[in-house]
Amino acid sequence: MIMKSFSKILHFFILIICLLLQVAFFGYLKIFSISFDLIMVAIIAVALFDGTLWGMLFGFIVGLVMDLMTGNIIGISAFVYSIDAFMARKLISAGFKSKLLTHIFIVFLVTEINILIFSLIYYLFNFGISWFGMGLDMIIRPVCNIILMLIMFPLIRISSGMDKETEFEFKYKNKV
Amino acid sequence: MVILNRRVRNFIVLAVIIFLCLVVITASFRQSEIINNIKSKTIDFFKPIQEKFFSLFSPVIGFFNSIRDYINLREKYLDLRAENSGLREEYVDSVNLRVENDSLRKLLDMKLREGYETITARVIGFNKGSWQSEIILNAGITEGACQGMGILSEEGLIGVITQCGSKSCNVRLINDPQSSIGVRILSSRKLGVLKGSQDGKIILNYIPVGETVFKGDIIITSEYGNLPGEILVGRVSKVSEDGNSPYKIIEVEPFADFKRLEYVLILKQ
Repeated sequence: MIMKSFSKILHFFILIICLLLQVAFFGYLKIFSISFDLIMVAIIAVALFDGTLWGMLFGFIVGLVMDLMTGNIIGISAFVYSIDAFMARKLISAGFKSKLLTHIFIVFLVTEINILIFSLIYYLFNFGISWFGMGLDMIIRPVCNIILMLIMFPLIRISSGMDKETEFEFKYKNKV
Repeated sequence: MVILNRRVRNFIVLAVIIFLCLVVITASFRQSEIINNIKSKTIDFFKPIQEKFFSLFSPVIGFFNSIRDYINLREKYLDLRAENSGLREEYVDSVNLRVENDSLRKLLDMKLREGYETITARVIGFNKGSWQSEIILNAGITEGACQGMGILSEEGLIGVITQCGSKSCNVRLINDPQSSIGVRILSSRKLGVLKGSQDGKIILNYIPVGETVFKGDIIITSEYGNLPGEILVGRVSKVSEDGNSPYKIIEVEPFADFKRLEYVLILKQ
């Protein structure tokens, strides 16, 4: 129980570090059209390894802090990251045989949905849409996020003290 | 049963979160004072650690810039050589005009234009995306910064402060889709509004189709906006027309390079 609580606190701090990294470094890379969303990847990982509830709560808190630090409309990132966490956990039931493939599929799909939700909300708030920019983002960002996933997922898994067999509440080895 | 309960619980939590987000979004859109205060406190709270993070990643950012500079070296050299020869000619004209201007001002007993008071600040964060283009600076109300003040780099105007904490502030860059700045075309003195766009282009609006605008025309701030007049902003890079619109579509290339912002000046007004 204490170990579980400790891992939740640890994950929260990892998310805060991800937030600072996003603002201090990955935000800068977006100028070159290299679009990493470290927070989203970390939240997906937390949702998968700690459960939907924690993923949604952390998504809401970190998204809100992100919006308060740099957002145009406060609450949008909080909303989208919570939805991301909820979706990620639902998508795990798609369950490919390969664990890596399942992770890639989830990150890819959540990234695409993330972009679409953001675009829709901003469109509803009377912002113009650049179809070319959105299309480019829908190609580049999933690839960048999948690269980040290869670092973030093992990090969150190790810090949650989970062994590979019990991951996601079903045994991959048996599935394969 | 337990799984069902968990599912119901998750749906309830999601519904509560969505409700809270809608409340916050509405409050933010209505420019609520409480939200603005919380925002200022948040950027102040994270400022020290963010500054450390930014210092840590400065060499990496510098490395990215070096690669880009190296790739563009030859092109830049040719551009600078052409610009240099043009500037040499302009310099001679400018000296003559300055002498003439000074003597005419003395004759009319007019004051010479005064320089602006500025505060130096360091960039400690970026938030660039399709929907926004912002930076965070390490100076705030304590240093004399305040909402609405203009931000300059060595080359020209880069943005305007949108949120000011006691020790840090958020700056909306001129290519942000929500940015809107009153400007003039230097040569024709025509007034227009400079707006950012989602794809990062900067568009000069409200210049009628009948007006002559040349590629390369210099854009400066207008004295009618919130910012002081005659601050260099950019150069016209493309002029086109849309058959249905009474206004020209003018793209502007900013003088400032947003990719290498490190230290900037806050314009005290």
